Amino acid sequence: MTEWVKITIDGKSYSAPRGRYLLEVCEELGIYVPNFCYYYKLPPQAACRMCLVRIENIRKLQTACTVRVQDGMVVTTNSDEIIGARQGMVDFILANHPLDCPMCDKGGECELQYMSLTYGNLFGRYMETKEHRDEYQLSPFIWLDPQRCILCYRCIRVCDEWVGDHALGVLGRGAHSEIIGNKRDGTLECENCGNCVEVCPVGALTSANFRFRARPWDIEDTITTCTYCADGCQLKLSVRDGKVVRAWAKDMTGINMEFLCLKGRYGNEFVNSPDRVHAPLIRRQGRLEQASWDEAIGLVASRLKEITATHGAESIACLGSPRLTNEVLYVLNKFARDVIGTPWISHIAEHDWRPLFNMLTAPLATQNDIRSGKKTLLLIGGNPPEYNPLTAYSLRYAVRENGSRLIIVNARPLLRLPEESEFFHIRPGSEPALLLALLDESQLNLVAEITNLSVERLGALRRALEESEDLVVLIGPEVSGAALEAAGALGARWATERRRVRLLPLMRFNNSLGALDMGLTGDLPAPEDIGAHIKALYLVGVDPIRTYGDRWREALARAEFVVVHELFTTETAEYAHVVLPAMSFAEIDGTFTNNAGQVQRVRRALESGGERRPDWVILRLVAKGMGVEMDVRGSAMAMLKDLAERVPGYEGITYEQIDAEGAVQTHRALVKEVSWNDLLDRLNAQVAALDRNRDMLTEPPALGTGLFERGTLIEHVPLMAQAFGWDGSRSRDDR
Amino acid sequence: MERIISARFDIPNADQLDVYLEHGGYRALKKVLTEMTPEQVIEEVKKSALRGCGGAGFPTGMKWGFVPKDSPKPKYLVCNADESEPGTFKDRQIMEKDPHGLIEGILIGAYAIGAHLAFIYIRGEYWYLKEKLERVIDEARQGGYVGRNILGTGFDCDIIVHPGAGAYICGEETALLESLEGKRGYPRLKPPFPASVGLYGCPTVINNVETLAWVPHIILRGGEWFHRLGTEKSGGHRLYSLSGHVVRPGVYERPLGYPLKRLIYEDGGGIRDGKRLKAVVPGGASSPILTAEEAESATLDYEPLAALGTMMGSGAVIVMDEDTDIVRTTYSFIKFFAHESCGWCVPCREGTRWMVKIFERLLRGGGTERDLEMLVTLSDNMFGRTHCPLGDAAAWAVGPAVKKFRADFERYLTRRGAVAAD
Repeated sequence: MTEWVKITIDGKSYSAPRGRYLLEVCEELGIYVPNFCYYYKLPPQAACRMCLVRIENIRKLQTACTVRVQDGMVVTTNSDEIIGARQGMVDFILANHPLDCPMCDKGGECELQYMSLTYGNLFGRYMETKEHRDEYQLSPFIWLDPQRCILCYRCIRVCDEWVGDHALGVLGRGAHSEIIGNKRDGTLECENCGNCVEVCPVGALTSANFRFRARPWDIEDTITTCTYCADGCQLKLSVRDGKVVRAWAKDMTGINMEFLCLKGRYGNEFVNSPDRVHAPLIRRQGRLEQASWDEAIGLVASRLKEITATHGAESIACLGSPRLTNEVLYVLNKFARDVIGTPWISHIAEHDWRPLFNMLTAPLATQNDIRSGKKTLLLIGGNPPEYNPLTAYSLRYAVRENGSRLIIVNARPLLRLPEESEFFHIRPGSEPALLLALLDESQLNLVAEITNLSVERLGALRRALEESEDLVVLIGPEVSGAALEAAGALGARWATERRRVRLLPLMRFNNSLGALDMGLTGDLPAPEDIGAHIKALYLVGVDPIRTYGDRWREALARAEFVVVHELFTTETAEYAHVVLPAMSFAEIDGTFTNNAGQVQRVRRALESGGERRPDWVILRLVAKGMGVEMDVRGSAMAMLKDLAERVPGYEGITYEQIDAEGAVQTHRALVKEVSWNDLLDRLNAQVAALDRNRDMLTEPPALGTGLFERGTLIEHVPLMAQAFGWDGSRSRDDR
Repeated sequence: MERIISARFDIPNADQLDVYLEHGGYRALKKVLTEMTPEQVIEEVKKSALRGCGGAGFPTGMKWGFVPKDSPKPKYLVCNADESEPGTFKDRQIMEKDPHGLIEGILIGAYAIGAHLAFIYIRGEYWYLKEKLERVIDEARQGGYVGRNILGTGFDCDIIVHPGAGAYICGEETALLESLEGKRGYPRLKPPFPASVGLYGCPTVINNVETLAWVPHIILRGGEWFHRLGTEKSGGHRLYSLSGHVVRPGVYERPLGYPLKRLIYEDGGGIRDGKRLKAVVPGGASSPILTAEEAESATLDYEPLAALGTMMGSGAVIVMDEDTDIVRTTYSFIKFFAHESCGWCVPCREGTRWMVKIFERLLRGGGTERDLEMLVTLSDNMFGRTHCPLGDAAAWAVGPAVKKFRADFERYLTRRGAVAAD
């Protein structure tokens, strides 16, 4: 229970929660106390000394960022003494700081600029020479200008606390102090998330992609949802002259607060790529040649009709990408099932998550669920710092701020998760057995043998769950088949009146869950099927060769007709008969559904060049060419309305609601009755087939395993290609 | 006057265990372990009005009393042997001449606060003393005074000597703890105070070498006896490090409340070469400078010196004769503080550098009236506003010097290019 105390600030009485930092109390009361080194939810530093205030009966001025509010405290934040002290501090900070604001990349959005304007002296009093230090590159993504640094240590703290990378520190003493990276030569070896750049109040840390390319007042920001992992961070895309120039999240209150990962921050410039397909392409004499929309649509429509007539509608398979918006996926599903009439409608995925959702007995856990309140967090498999960075951020937050208990079950030790976590090191591939232990206590001996955990350790794990009052289970892609059903059933097994259980599948793509929800749930055709009973492929934003390998190369070569909607001429596009130029996530409106089942907005940030069209418009045109007028309305906003009427769980979701709430939770029906015998039979069969002799893995997965992975979109980001040495030819090792 | 803490300084080989035992060594430890409870030890030290001899002068008994008795965590005693305050060289004498006295004090302090592990954090430049202390601790261990089951009483306490790496800031107790933990020596935020959250997050007491070395004497002869040696608020004697332009510089054991003049003229033999006194820095480089006139009436005690706007500090009295150029001595001090500023907070990091630059310009002959005002303004802007007392010390080294010895400074305003800064 919060205890409220009476305090007096500048002669007025207020009540404030006892023990809060005075600075935060002032901020909430609308009494502005200037500060640099204070940052919300980061350890207080008392380094910049800007927030000095006078507290009655204390001899020296006190830093408001470190003083905790007590009953009867009498505070002065605004007196000649305080104003003088602030002016003195600004003088000190500006002493060796370059005063070439017009030349500085931070000009116009610099906290020191604001502070000097409001609290500084009219005339500089520093008459000495400044000590110049050259700027240099800390990493391919991050630059440091040490002379501009005011040593607020925000960057070091976000690296320690938000990211868990501990990649930044201080070198040198006194006025020679300098922020420095963790490598021997002072540069950085880290995940390059750029959160340090984001929190830098001055122009000391800058991003290689954005520095000196734009001014804050000549860019336009659009808030949208990231197009990489399934966590669904909110980001601001800054656009200048029709080009994306940066992505950032500062001062936002989306599900990710101010956090972004490497991909979210630096992975968006594929949108600007000159390699984008800009007009429809038709294969003539083996080569893709530019064609008009009418010609291309006419060709696609007539070939689809012919193939339907000759081989039946079931000979056409439609595949969508889990990166597409719900609206596009919704239309694609209708197109496949209603216009073409084929059951072969599915999406390309790294993992089949259907069993989990078929057996879901607990609500999905949001990032906020992880971060709020003290709870027990059980991570089975997965590697959140690499594949779900926001989840990793939230796990660190939960442990740090709430003292939540984090239990990690993994075949390998994971990096960048809190030291306080408990680690259960299991044999690779034995995750299903572990789920068996969680459902069936009588099988601990068997599970111990398979997982290489002792019966006592398994008992300890079960006890941890028994002791928990609020349990979140995070499920990695190592859990599959019946084990995934078992994971879905954890709610039925563990939830009680005093224990809440929530589940979070660590899905891979920004709209993995949306693709399932929108009905792209058919089976994926096997490569052998193609050319056999599957004659034509309709591919929307997918590259099966890249995802599934060379077997698809031959399969595509056997197909009679292949249509691709794409941003780039992928390897798969090279086998296509028609390539239709699509718009990227930055150029359209729509929604994504993240792994927590939250629907968030995708907003058009810029005009797409060329003759590109949104995927749903293309689908409608093809249908029309085939003589079918699709029952699809003419805007993404209206489509969401239709979709919300027809897709279970999406009832009533509108743009207005998303705009107001940020993320809107879908209502997922939970399985009420689990037939335990059947489930355990299936799970036992899966467990019986596991290899019990695999060697234990002791090395953690390397830094960048997921984050530095090459992909269809990210390889077209010049900075990424440069940083990771990706050349024009596509690598085959990074699927 | 009876010499107490320095009584064994002149005894040959007093650093050896047998000689130390002959001269009353480890009797206090035995008394404490066999006859006294920890509370009684703390009570006795409280009665003595012993104040920390490292600089801040905090009452030692009270500091020990802050350690929570019911904490389940281990407690630590840390002896601050990072003697780096310019002008101070008394702890060195103790460690060189009477190291067992320090060890005995540490053990008694550890017993009082319930610690079973003590550290001596010694400045890196005292490497030869580190080796010596390690030998002495080994010797004491062999004699049954250190380690397990001390003197058969069941009390365990070991002592580890850890060297600093040459940073003045690591003499500040919380920076010392950071350094001891293997981190960069930045001062910590207070609260929490080390008595509750100190080394490795556990209750910790940090005491200066001299402070701890006084403890055995207090135990043997009583807190009241010790208190009577000094003044009302500050008991006992102190070791004064007398340096500068005196005939006989050195370490002198004298009571608290002792007149500064007597120390300089009687003990120190007066000013060298018959010169006149110009200024005195009474408590190490961190304490504001006194004019000859102020020094005339000064007594070496906390409150009287505070009334003169300066402080007792570490008892390091630096004497300057009439030929001294206060601009250059102040420059030397501020250069020291700029070099030793840890860089954590803005006013200290930037203020010291700024002042050094002004001094360098003054010394080159490019100074103006405005610079002198600026030095005072800068020291005002620093004083009381920094993260730790280093910034206060730097401000105190400059502001009062400019105000009190303005004539010295003004000489540089007219001399153009006369003296090159070194």
